[in-house]
Amino acid sequence: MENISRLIRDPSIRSGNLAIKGTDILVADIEALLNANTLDDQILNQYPELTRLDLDAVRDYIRIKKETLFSCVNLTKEYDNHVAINNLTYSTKARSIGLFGPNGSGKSTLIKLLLELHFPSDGVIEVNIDKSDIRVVPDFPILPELMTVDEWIETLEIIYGYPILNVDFQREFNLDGSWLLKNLSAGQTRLAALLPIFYGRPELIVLDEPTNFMDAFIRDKVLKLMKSQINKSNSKLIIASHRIDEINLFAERVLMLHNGKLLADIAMEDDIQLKYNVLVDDFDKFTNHLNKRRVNFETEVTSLGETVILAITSPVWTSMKQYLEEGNIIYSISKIDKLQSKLKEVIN
Amino acid sequence: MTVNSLKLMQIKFNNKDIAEKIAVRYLFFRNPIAQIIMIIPFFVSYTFLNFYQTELTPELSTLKSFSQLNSTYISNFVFGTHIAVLITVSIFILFRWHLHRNSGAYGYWLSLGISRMRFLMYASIYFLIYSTIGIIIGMVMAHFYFGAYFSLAMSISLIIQMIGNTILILGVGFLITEFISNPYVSVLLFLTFNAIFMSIENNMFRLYFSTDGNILSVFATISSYAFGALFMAIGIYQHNTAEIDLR
Repeated sequence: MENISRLIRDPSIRSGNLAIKGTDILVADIEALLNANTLDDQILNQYPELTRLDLDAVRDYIRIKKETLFSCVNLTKEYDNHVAINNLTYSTKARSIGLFGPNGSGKSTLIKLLLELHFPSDGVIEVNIDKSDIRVVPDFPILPELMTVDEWIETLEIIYGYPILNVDFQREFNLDGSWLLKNLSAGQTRLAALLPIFYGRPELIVLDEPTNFMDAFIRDKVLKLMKSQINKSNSKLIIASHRIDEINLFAERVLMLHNGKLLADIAMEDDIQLKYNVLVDDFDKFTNHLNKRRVNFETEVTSLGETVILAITSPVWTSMKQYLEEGNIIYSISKIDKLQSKLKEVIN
Repeated sequence: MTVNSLKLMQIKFNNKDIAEKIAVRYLFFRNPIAQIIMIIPFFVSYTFLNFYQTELTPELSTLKSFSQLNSTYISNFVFGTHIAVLITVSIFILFRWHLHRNSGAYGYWLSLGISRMRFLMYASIYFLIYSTIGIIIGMVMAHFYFGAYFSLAMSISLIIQMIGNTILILGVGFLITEFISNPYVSVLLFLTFNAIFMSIENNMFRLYFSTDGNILSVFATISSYAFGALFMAIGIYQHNTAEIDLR
């Protein structure tokens, strides 16, 4: 990674080109020579400004590009003195990534940078997939609103080909073919905006808050269809969402962003210790039992009162048994999912 | 498989830039009315100028030869073309294009995977095709309704010159659009620039047309193509590095 920081996106040649820092040599030129098995000495003779470290940087870059879903090095994006992405360095081989964070954390900016709609103020971001093989559902899509639903679907068929799922999306989503897109409700607009992901075989699907404005029934249906589509088309996925269940459903890894910085990179397959939230009738008495047995726990104030967050171990079972035998009540024990646990860990 | 779906497949496989073409057609020429709007300014400006010329200009009665009369007709024709191109570029490029960019509509099409470069290329081609149709209609009108005489060589030369002028005006409009984000300011600047340009060009027209009205300025034609291409190249460079919003 240190090597690769020698490569920068030169502001003067922003049209998708990378340059080697301190020179005006394009990485693509060196990449072509390396791919043609040109010897290092020959390249160094041809470009006297380059060092062997620069060549290693280009090699690293080629390797990472082949393996990764996306990669960024020292990525910074500023808007009028506001830093949306702050010196982000990241790359992953995972096939599905969740972007998680509060409003203004940089999720949507990262997506715009990935799609080359916006350009980095500094650093590099690369997606090794042709733009025409990417399907995007932005957070506020401006659909071609003078088209009818039928025309929209026909357009998607012309551009991307037919759906690979044997599903009548118009019927599933309750969209009448004669309706103009501009007359759809917020939820229906969202459904129409999701349609592109079901047409053809996208290599990468990028979703930004995909189920906003949907009612619970249709949301459930849409999530199932999206899961089937991703499995069947073997697409890679980047999903930005505030909903933990959506991230849990789709993502192999989760990037937690805050103020444009990477707070945590969570592998959902890792063994994150499961934690439980316990609500009791006498909080102090219960925590005394836990303290006596030297159980590590955290507390949380909720609308129902103070609760205890802990991992269930043998001393915890013993404490709970004794607590119940003393005539007390345990109202609830609810599981906190992996992402939520990690979220709490990061915040603490 | 229905006939329709076979047609769709044919389009898909025969046409790799179909997404760009659909985007251009949707954003600029959504329906036949928009296509007619592209042609109408040519029709109106030629008609108006010819009636204006024949009925209201006292100099007309003092013209001494047919060639002078014809030269006046052609001069009017060139002027009319400029006015028509100015109107269409103002409406379609400076105003509507701005609105599409600012609203995020263009950004959404980009997110569907279309290429900025190919989009601009097809938009320019469509625009030039419609303008050329307008120019040809104007020539037919000038010939059959108002009595202007165009030899074949003159017709071809005029079309070549008018397309050059259209490219130049299109280039200027596109360049202004890329650098100024307010549609009203950019339209104002564009019209001011063109008023100055037309005044210069009017003098050039007189300078380069001989009395028999058949010799066109090679210099003026080449320079309008060259400057038009240069402005468009600068505009395209600027466009490729510009940040496009999704909303």
